[in-house]
Amino acid sequence: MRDMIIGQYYPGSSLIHRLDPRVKLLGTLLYLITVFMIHGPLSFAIVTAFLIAVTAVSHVPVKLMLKSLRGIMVILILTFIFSLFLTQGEVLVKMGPLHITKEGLSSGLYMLMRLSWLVIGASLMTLTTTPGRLTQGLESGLGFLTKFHVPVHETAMMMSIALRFIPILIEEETRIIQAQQSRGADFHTGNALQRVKKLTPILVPMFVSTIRRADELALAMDARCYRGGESRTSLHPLSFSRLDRQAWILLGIYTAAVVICFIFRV
Amino acid sequence: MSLLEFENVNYYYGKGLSYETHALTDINLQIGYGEFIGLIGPTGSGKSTLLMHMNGINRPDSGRVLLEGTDLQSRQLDRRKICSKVGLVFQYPENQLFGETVLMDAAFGPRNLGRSEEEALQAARRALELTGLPPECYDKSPYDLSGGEKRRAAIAGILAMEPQLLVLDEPAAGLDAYSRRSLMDLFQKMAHEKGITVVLSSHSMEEMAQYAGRILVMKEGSIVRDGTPEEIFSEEAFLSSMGLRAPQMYYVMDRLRSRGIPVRRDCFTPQQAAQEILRLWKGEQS
Repeated sequence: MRDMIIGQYYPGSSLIHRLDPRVKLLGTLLYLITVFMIHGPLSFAIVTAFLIAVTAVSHVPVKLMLKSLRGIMVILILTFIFSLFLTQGEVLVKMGPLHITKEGLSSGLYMLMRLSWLVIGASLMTLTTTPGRLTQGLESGLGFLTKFHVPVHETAMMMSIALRFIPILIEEETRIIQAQQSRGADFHTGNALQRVKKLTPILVPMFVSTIRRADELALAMDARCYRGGESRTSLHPLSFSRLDRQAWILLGIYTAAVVICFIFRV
Repeated sequence: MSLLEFENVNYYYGKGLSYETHALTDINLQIGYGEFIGLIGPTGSGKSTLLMHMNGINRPDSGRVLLEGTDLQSRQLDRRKICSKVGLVFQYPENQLFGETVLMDAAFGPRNLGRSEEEALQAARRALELTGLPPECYDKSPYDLSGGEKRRAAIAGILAMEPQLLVLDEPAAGLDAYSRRSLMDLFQKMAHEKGITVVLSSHSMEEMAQYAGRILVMKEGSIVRDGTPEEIFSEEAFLSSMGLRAPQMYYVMDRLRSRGIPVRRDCFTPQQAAQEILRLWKGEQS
């Protein structure tokens, strides 16, 4: 759990930190699409260069970014193994009934890269944007949906609360684990079933405190007369700056480049 | 040999990141058998971090913490051995209660130490009795207790492991005056009658003056003062420069002196103050 990076903000004041959250949201969306459009070395190079450039500008330590991969390590390895062995094609190595094919190897590596690039890119956004700004961006960016009776503000509020709670709950979990360890609890030995049982001393207090926190928050919001989104104003209204306009242009050029590569399959 | 010893301990939060903080700086500290030590300092001065080093839950980034001469991080000491010697009560320990009944919860510690079910329950019962929790609570769910009762039940969970060193992080925070008093009396009793070493942090200077035999003052991750309550509290100016203060009685006596009544200044508990005033009054009458 401590490896969870998504939803954690890395304080800073880099160009990326200062971008309007709507630019970052749409930028991330475009980036995610372009990762799926990689079909050759050139498009791979462009996407990777973009990722490296944005990371460098953001001043977020690379170590922290790579940490986000740890959480999906199992998925990465499984994906790689499955495509390695289950793809038909030119056989490279034979191991009993299993065989590794050239196509399997390349598609495995390709999947590995694609997933990692996705997660790193997405975590870069959450690392450089406070949950509050993120939700504000979503709310304003999707505001037009209110016309179709989509409860945009409420959904954004729920999301921001959920995001805000992640670090708090992780901290709380750490404290409870440490407290139970101080009572001699041992979470690392025993078979799977025993280990699951050993989680009770963590899970029960976690459930209790999560519900208590939710209850207290609801009361506190009520006490301040919170009412949904209608005619609500913001302390820091969003507005596009010159920086954001430049970012739009760069994003446009980047996306166009990848799309062209995609069309020509390079 | 001292019971617990800190040797040049340093500890950082978020090491290597931009928000790295030096939480403990060159801590050198010896805790002897049977001491009752109070830990004071402003919020964020590293009190909790220091206490969490005492049973090895926090690993020092440099330096060592020795329990009876053995490094807490060495292989010779596993968690169980440490837990059977050092009982650490976290802040708001009632948040860790999880057992179906109060008794079962208090028996969690001793059971982890490898005691039999029977022994564990007995140890739990003894610990609960010590805390003064009424016996009809033992079979209740811990969540049905009041705040003060929960705190007692949680502390009993640590006492049930019968540690030699009891470390408590603000054990009385958020309790009413009566519960505070009786909890502090309990720790004093443990120290006097059972010879258990007690280290506790608190924001109440009155309690510290009353109970502690030695006081450590922390500031920004360092121990800046280490002495008897008399030594510590006589430096009122230093304490208030850190946002702390001396016990109330100090100010009462100070005010009396400024009105020309020649009382001694080093009276920190109501008992001492009363005696001093009585002494002066009797002297005047005769």
